[in-house]
This record gives sequence, structure tokens and C-alpha cells, in this order.
Amino acid sequence: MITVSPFLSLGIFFLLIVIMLLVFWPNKGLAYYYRKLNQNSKRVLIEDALKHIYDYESHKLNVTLNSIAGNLNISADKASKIVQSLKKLKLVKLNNQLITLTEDGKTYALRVIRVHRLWENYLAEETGLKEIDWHDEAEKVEHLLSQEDADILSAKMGNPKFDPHGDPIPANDGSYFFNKGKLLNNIEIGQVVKILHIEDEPKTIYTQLIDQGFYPGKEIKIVARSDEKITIAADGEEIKLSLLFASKVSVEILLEQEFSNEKIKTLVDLKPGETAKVIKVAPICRGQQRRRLLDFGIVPGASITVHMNNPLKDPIAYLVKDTIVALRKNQAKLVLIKT
Amino acid sequence: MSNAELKIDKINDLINFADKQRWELGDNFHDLIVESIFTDANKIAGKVISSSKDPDQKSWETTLDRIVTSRIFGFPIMFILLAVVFWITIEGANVPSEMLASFFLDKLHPILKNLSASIGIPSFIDGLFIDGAYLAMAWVVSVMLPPMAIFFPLFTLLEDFGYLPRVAFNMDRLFQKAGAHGKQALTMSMGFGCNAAGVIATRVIDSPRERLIAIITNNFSLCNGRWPTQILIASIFIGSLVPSYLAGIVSAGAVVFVALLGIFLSLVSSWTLSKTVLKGEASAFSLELPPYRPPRILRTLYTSLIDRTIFVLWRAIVFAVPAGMVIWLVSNVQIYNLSLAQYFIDFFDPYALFIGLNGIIFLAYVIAIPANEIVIPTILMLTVTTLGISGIGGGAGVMFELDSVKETGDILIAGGWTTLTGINLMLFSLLHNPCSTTIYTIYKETGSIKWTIFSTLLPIIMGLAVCFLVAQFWFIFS
Repeated sequence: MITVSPFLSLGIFFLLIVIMLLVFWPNKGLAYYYRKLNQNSKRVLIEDALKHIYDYESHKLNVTLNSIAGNLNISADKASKIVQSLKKLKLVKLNNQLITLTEDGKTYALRVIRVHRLWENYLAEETGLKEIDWHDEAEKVEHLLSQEDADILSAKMGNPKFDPHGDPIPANDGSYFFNKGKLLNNIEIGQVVKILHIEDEPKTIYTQLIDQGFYPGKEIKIVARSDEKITIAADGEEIKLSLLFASKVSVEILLEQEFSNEKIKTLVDLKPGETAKVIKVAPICRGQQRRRLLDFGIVPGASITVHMNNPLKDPIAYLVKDTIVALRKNQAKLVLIKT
Repeated sequence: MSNAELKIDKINDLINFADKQRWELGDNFHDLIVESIFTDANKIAGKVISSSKDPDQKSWETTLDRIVTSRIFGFPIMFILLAVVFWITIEGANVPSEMLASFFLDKLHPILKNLSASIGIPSFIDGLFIDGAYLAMAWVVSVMLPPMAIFFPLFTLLEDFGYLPRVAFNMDRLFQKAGAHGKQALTMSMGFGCNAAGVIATRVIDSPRERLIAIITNNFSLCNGRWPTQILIASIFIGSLVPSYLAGIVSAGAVVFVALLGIFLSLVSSWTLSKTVLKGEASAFSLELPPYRPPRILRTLYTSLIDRTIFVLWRAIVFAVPAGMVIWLVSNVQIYNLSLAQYFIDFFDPYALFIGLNGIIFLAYVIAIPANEIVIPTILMLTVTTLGISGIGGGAGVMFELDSVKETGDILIAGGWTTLTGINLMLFSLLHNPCSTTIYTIYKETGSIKWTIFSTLLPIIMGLAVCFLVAQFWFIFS
């Protein structure tokens, strides 16, 4: 038998556990940072720079070395090297301090954007990842997928035209059409609008908007505004947004739209024995989960009754079309009803 | 321009036009189409289908639903029914198991031996095929067949009647918190009968992530093949720690503790898996509660015997035959007067003792991989051969079991077992790789080598770590 003091062996054991945790802890461990470091290869930097320039150009902002360095989180020195190689590849033009994309550069940028948005769409439809993780995952994958892979993926997904944030996905020739709409911070009081797009960067603002229940396709009404804040009504609630936050949301003005701000009820609000009609399944419910609900016959107009409670309160059993279906609370919340 | 070219031109125009329209339509037109189809179907059905049922009258089904899912009766009913199923299985399997064992092991085995001796088959061939392959197969059949033939039909009856989906409904909250599906309660219960059957049963979970979780963690359900090991070792090493009038209850308590530990670890690993390696897998909960139906007993008997019992048994036999040969070979092939088994045991003994087990246990868990049922017979055979005890068992490579718990205990203690070895064997019996039948079934069900290896290694690593910890603390406090 190996004779080691049990204290020593236990010490080594726990030390190993701690080291393993430090290395492999998801999104914080050393392995994660190591991978991230490796990701900052030249190709990644070049592609990220192209994306940044494209983004600024489409917002009519001036691209400088500083903006590139700031956006990619690299030194000005490194940024200048990147711009030099971009120039050598004939992807950008330099005009004084201004950096603009050439036609080739634009096509390249759109290709990267296409993969990014396609992948976000894939994550939203086919995986269990939460919306706040979509962007970061796509940031990694956009540099790895070839043009052919992207075409195959796109075909498999049914050639989607929009990503889950409402951004258009360019076709493989780079063409796209985009109803840009207006930014929410420019909308007058009394207008009813439909959300077209929510900007997913910076993540902190995006996360808060998602938490407040914003999603592409949601209809809202502007009820008040001041110099700093805009108040909107939706689903029976009034939400105050700072103009900065509102500027991350683009909307389309709906004409002649009746807007009733009654609190829209969901299945969660239904008591045992009560019956209601389904209005719709909330648009945030996507992919497999949505198909599952539709399969059960939870479609607009269907009548649904609470069949029984659960000894642990969740899930609740509902009666739809003579079938008993158990739905968890987080699913029931996605089914909008009227009683 | 030819006609055909004109046509293609027109088609391209059409495609381009359609493509443009899709930009205008927005994101969700697929959904709109599906929803309108469903809505139309719903309207048509509403017009043409009439129901004779009075919707206000509560049916007995509804009443029964209220009782089995009520806050007061729901869980007690569940525990009682499951307990009854297990009790019937254990009690009912005893007699046929003994009959099969006495026929295959005590009668047929000597007859075969005599037969081969009388026609002059060389002892090498005779040992390899009769003591090795045949014995392992016969053992597996006689210990596995009766409990499975009782447990599976009972379980299927409950399922057919419609009760099991209600159990999933009651338990779902707990499993939801662990990132799993309520139906995992069912596959876990099935796992208490047989892990391979439990893994197959995960087909009822139609959400990919939750199904993988249920497959990977099924091994934490203490299966039928491990209960007897737990009970035997508990009565030898745990029961002996207390006065004899308490021995029964204390050793039973120890076994129940191990089973509960399995459930606990199963939930903990489900949670960890859903938060880490399986985070990105697709997940969509659905649970339908089918109407109650009078069970079709004969049909259930037939299908559960053919689909589950014979199916699993066949896979077990397929693995038991070669493993039986390996068991015989490692004990009988000698290099420089030492058997292969002895080399293995001598090499691993120091490491195994360090984590409170021993080399024989390691070897037994490697070569008795086809079924947990033959682990103890293999351990006994190896212990007796290693110690050179004569007069017990059938010689090198011939697995055996003793009727007397005390004599079994004496052999193990002579083999150097302590209370620590007993405790750790119980823990290792819970936390080690699934049997080969289950591993193969996991591969068949997931279709992925990666997940098969993962589900095989996860419990071994946990088992080694737990045994290590227990041993170190044992050394400190003793």
C-alpha cells in the first residue's frame, strides 16, 4: 500500500480540484481565456476591423485608427498595423485620417456579417442557448465558417432573411433589403409602433431591454416623453426608457392601428377550471419550443382550460382539444390569452 | 431565344420576385402559415365534430387525476405503488432465480463437465467454454431473468394504465430545477430495475438535452444487479458493527442510504450537466397526460417480455459469453507460475488499497463488466484462488457464490477486507462504469461515441474520488 499521510493526500486532492476549477470554469477559467487569446489571430482582427468600419459607415460615422483600436480593444499601434494589412489587401482606402471600405472590403464585411447573423438565427432556432449568449457565440463562429458552410447552413434553416434581433441577413452575394425604420427615441407621443430591431451591442443595454420584455415584433405605444426619458405602454404596463436605451430600438410606425393597453393575460393568469381563448404564442418563443406548442394545438383561436394543479405548483395541466397537456410556467407565460 | 431558355428566364424572374417579397414579409411568415393552417383545421373540426359528453359533468378520470396529483395523496400514492412494485419484484424473483440457478449451475454444469470429461475434451477447452463462457451466461440468465420478467410487466402495466405520466407530472418541478425533465423520474425508476432498460426508456423524453441528461445519469439508479451486492456487503460489514438485534435494520438502512445517495448524485449531475457541457443542446419541454385506459394485461405481458426482458437479456448474454472466457483465461493463463490475474492484482493492489479497495475488486470490476450480478462471484473466486484456499468453490476461473452470508464474510475478511473495504465497495458498486450491456445501449440510443465514453467515465471518476475521500478520512479517524 502507498504510505502517504492522509492529510497530505487530501491536501493534494483539493488542490487539484481547485486548479481544475480555475482552469475549466465556464467563461471565467484559464482555458476560456487561453482560447480567447488564441482567437485574436490576425484573421479575426482583420475581420472584426472590417465589421467595425462597415458598421460605422452605415451609421455615417467617421472611422479612424482610434475608433478601430477602441472597438477591437487593441493598442493604436496594432490597429495601425491592421489597417496597413487591410490596405495591402485592397480592402480599405486611406484618405487623410479617414478610413473607408473598398467594394471588396464591403463584400468581405457583409460575408462575415452574414455568417454572424445566420449563426445567431441557428442558435435561436435549434439550440437551448439564451438570447444573451447568442451574440458572443456568433462572434466566435463568424470567423470559422467558410462561405460554403454558410450556404449549407442557410439552406438548412430555410434561407432566413432576418436574425433573431431583426437584422437582415445578407444573401450570399451580399445583397439585402432593410426597412431601417425609425429609432424609438425620435417617435412622437401617441404613435403606435412595431419593434423592428433591437441592437445587441452593448450587451448591458441589450440585456436590460430583453429583461424588460422587448422583442422584435412587439407593438407599443408612446405615452409620454421628456428630454431624458420616453414612456411607452405595452401589455398593460408602462415602461420608462432613457433616450439612450430607446435609441437602440428601431421601430416602424403603424397607421390606423387600434391599440388597447389592456394587460394581456397569459396562461399563467388562468385559475383552475377557467377557460380562455388563445390569442397567440409570443414571438420570443422560437424554434422547437414553438413548434411543440403548435403541435399541441395551442394556436390562435383554440380554447384552453386549466385541468389540474400540481402538488409542487409547476407544471400545470391544461385541457386543449380534449387532450391533457402539462406546461411549465415559463412556457405558459408565452401563451397570450383572452378570457 | 429558345423556348426552354425563355422558360428558365421566367422561372428565375419568379424566384427573384419571391425573394424580394420575403424581405417585405418579415421574419415570421412560416409561423403565420402554420398557425393559419392549424386555425383553419380547428374551425373545421369545431363545425363538424359533436361530442355527446356533457362538459360540465366530472368524469371519473378527472376525479382520479385530482387524487393522484393532490398535494396530500399525490406523493404517498406514488411511493407506495413504487415500493409495492419493488417488493413484488424482489420477493417474486427469489424462487424462480433459485430454481434457475440450481438447474443451470448446480445440475447442468456438473453434467456438462462430466460429459466433456467422458468424451475426452482437453481441460483447456473444457475450462474455457464450460467454466468460462457457459457459467457466465448461465449466471447472468438465472439472476437477471426473473426480476426483469416481473419488474418490466408491472412497470409497463402502470405505464399503460396512464399512471406513470402523472408521476412525471408530479415530480417535474424537482427535475426542472435540476435542468432535467419530469419523465426522468420514470427512467430513473426503470433504472432501479435495469439501467439498460432505463436508458432505452429515455425515448419517452423528446427534448434532446433532457434526454441526454437522463441517459448519462441513469447509471446512478442502483440497478437490480447491484442490490444483492449492496445487501450482502451491508450485512457482512455494516450489520456487524452493531448488536445483532439491530443488525438487520442498520444494514438495510445502509443500503437505502446508498440508493438515496444515487438519486441525489443523479440530480446533482443533471444540474451540472445542464449548466455546463449540455448548455447548448436544444431543449423543449413537453408532457402529455394520456387518458386512463384499462391495461391490456396479456398484450403488456407479451410486449414487455419480448421488447424489454428478452431484448436486454440477449444483449447481456452476448457480452457475458466472451467475458466468461476472459474471466477463466486471466485466472488460468500463467506466466512464470503466476496467473495473469495475479499480475494484475499485484500491480494494482497498492493503489487500490490507498483508496480503500483492493486489487481483486479492481480486476473483478474490469472483467465482470457484462453484468453487475457476477461481480461478487468473481471477487469470491479471485479471493479464494489468490489465497490458495482449497475446498471452496470450483477452482481457478470458476465463479461461485455461497449460501451462507457468514462464510462469504469469512472469505472476504481472510482476503484482507475491513469495514472500510466494505463501505467503499458499496460506494464503488453505486459509482462505477455502467455494465457493458448499458454502455452498448447508450451507444445505440445516442449514436455518439463521445457521449458513450462520457457516460462511462463520469461515474468511474466520481467513484474513485468518493472512495479516495472516504478512505483518507477513515485513515485520519481510525
